[in-house]
Amino acid sequence: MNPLPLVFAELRHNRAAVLAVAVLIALAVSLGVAVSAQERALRNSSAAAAEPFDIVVGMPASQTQLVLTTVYLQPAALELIPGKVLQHLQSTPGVGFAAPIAFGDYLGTSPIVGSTAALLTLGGSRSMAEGRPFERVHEAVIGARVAAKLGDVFEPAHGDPSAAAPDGETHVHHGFKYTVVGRLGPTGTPWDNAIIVPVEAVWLVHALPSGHPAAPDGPHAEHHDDDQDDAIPIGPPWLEAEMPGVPAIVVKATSVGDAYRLRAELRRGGTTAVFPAEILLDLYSTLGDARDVLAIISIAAQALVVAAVLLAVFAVIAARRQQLAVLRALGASRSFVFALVWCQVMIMIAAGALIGLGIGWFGAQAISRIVEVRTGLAVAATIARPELVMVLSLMLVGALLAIVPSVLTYRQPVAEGLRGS
Amino acid sequence: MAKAARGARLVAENIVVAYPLPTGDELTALKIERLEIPSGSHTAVCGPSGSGKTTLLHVLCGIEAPRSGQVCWDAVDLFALGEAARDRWRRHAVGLVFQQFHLFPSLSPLENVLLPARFSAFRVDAAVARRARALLDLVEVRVVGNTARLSRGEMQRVALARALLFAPPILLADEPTASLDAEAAARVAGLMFSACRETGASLLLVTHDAALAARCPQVMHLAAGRLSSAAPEPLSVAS
Repeated sequence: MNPLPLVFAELRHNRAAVLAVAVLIALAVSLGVAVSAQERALRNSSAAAAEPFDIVVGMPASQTQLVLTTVYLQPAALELIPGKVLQHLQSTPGVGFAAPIAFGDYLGTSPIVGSTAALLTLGGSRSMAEGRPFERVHEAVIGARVAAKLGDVFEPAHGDPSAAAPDGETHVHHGFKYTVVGRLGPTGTPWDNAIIVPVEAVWLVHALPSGHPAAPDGPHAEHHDDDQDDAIPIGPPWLEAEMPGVPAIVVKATSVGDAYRLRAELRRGGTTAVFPAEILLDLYSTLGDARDVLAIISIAAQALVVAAVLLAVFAVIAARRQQLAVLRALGASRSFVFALVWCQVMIMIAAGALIGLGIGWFGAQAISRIVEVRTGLAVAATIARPELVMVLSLMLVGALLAIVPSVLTYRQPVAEGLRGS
Repeated sequence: MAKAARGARLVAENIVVAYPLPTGDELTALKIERLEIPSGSHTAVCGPSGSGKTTLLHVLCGIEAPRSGQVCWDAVDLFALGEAARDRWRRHAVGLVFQQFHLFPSLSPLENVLLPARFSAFRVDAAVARRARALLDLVEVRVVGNTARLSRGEMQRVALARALLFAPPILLADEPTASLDAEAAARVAGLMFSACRETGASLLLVTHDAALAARCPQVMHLAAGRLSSAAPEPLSVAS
């Protein structure tokens, strides 16, 4: 037997209703697919962003804020760690590298982050995409997405341009110029939008000591003389007595054992230390609750839609009892009529589910773009097994539920149907 | 057109069809002691509405099982067959023509004629497809087009072509002309009789159209579910 020509003819004949049903299913499915794909992508990419940072050290406060500020460059006023902690870490056994993260100025929307060359190369494990690490206090390295080129000279403004600082201290120029000497490769994190400068430069801009023996003229002069500044050494070792504090320090441990030991050590003596990955897990479990709620909503929406579809199918079958009876009278077997009804319901559900998969994928991409524009976090949403399982289960449930109306037609007496009573 | 096997001989005996009434009583819709239709004969069953004509037709082609009795076409005892076997038998042995045509508006005229072929085969045999086209040629309806836009006469001719697809030895027609105008009715009736003559198929038609019935050598009358070979008294019709 071959009910397909009749199946397709009937679907074509009722295309407006079929399309409406398929779109209804598609919308419900796309919600579930987009939520699932996007949530996973966000989790993966935010975890990947934290990967280079084994341990983040800060003053005891919100550990979540510490991670958000260092890994995702979310501006926040953090209490400063005494400089000697940073200096001490440079010679602590088990430390791969320990780099400060100091904030302050912005160039356009790009945060200027003060650190050391170790952060640029992640302790030698990463090479520059272009140019070289900074070697002088007036040199800067830009993230992959910063709109500048090697050799550009810029002069930053102070404060976050997107939110006026409480003391109104925005757009105060310091007359401190940087020359771009290198560019990092893309990381898919907010760091791609950052400009990294020697931490000494950030200190100097804030009229603090440079951490190194003072130049004859003194770093506290109102106007920086770039040529003189070039004499200031950058990077460790620093002179502990001349070291200002830093908001955060990222530490790469040489082994997992060292990481745990270092974290324990750094939690003593007034500082705190966290594994960003661990803090993120806490965050995910909170986000996971929201995800679960959305998932339940989307499954409920899908269930409602399938129920609505079946109701519609019952109505259609009641209206077409006579047609189905005619098929039987002409010699169609019960299984032919069963297959005819089942195929029609199944094609509507499958088409809706597949279109929904597509819309869901597009939706996840759209959300990714928004997240990337807003946070700089590259969120690559993909359709993977959980979404396919979701869509396949819906089709499976649909296939099973479609049996119900098909069975009803199966049991309908032909003579009664023919009379059209 | 291909010649089919000659018509089939019907013997129906002791048929009772009864329905329960809400009052608890029963309505006897059909009570026939014996009906015999010789092979290749043309028979008309006449009777007023509600006399059981359609029920009789449904019983004779195995659509509706009687409470008791036997229907045999040649050697086939219809209700001794399983439902699937009965469906198969009906598909090839019976051509059905309905008063309301019962075409599928979603299918082209050709696909409507080919529909019974879809019940058994995944691919339509080339010979069957040729026959479908030849039948549409015979009834003078274009192969392609919108079935819903055909005239009523054309629709019934397509339905007749569909009934003749497998050259069945039996053609059963339920008021085939009742919803057509006189001209279309005459054309459909002409095609029906000539097709049956050509293939030697038995024709049983149920009608209240006396003129159509008169074209059959054998005319039976059905009243209140009971058959008689003579027309009922005019008085009893009036009552």
